[in-house]
Amino acid sequence: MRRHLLCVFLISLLSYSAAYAQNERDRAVRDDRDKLVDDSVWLYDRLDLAISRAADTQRPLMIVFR
Amino acid sequence: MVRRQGKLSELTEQFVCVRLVKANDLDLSRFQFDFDLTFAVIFMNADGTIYGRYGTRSQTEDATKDISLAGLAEAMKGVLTIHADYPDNRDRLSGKQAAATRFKTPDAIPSLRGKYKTELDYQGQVTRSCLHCHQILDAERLVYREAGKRIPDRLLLPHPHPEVIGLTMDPAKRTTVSQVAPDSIAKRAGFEAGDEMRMLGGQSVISTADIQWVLHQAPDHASLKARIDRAGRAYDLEMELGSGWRNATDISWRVSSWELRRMVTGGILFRPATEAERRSANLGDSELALLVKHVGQYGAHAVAKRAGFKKGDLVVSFDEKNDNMSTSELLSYAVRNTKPGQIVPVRVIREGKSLKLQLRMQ
Repeated sequence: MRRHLLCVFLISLLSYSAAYAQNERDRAVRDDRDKLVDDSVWLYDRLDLAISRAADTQRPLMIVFR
Repeated sequence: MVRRQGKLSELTEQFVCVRLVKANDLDLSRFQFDFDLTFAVIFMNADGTIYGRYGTRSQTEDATKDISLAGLAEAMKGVLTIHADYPDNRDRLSGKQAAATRFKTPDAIPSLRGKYKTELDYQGQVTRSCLHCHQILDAERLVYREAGKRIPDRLLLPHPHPEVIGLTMDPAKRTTVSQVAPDSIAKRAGFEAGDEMRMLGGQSVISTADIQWVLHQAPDHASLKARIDRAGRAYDLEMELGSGWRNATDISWRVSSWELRRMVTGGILFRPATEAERRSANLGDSELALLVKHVGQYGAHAVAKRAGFKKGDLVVSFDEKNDNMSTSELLSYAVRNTKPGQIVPVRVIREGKSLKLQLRMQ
């Protein structure tokens, strides 16, 4: 019985840790987007806009995959 | 970080900068680069003509061995020069464009079809809604593996690092050679430390990634012309890529090697045995000696575990071969020479005893 409870506790702990790590990663992605979405130099995930802006301004595109 | 660096900040203002964070709807007929990278750049004209690529990796420990902000700045300056000459220089850019591709988007690849939406789910589990670039490579390899066909070398050993031909590049420069390995392809062609590569295979090159792109497209047996600048003078050198030159490419650092390990090692992560471990097992330098660093625990990555492999086992023969191989060479050998379902005998040494285990290929 004690062993069974210990297993349940460990599985719960692992699940909680995995969920916590997942939430942290999700939060980092959202924070990153919030920082860049209104940036004056960088466009966030808007390739079509970047291409039309490059055509209008005759500048080359720097496309970062990150 | 790019925004905080003064010199880079000035340079970025001369570009239209865009950050793409997902590969869910990536146009593979246009954007082809090293999909195992966590940071990659494509420089492009608004008409879609690619000027160059940036981003290189050769191991997991230290990114600064291959890339730097100074190197990126140099590449950006090179792009501005190309842009100023465009379109008169179009012939030198033609080889940089994306190659013909079987799948126009990741969603067209069978194992990825229908699994990811075009947009990320920012309200929910956003990272899980993101298709990572390396998954494209995984999925393309799987098409061949599941069909029982040989995975093409360009997919198995992609974007060969210049060290494969004997060149160590200076990460702080554009395309400057810092070392030439003795008895290498580059040495035989006449390369010297300090040479700056201007063109390779008829293409203008502005980064190590551009050199890798040329190597990536190069066939198994080819002559490759390079134009270099040495102390202000231009020289033309010619490299002979002999049969199998690409095999020296190290793929063990790649995220996508995880899926290759599932296929042919059943989830084992290796590391090379140390000299002491070799001696203790009475193994010479020419003999296989890969130590099991980790055994996968779940699902398809636990096939080796179920076959009886344990952490600490020393693999001394694989498929009856005991020639010394790196992890990368073993993965390449096994992927090329086995088929899913095949049982491969593997001999290991465990606590001084020799054991023969049977490993099922996937």
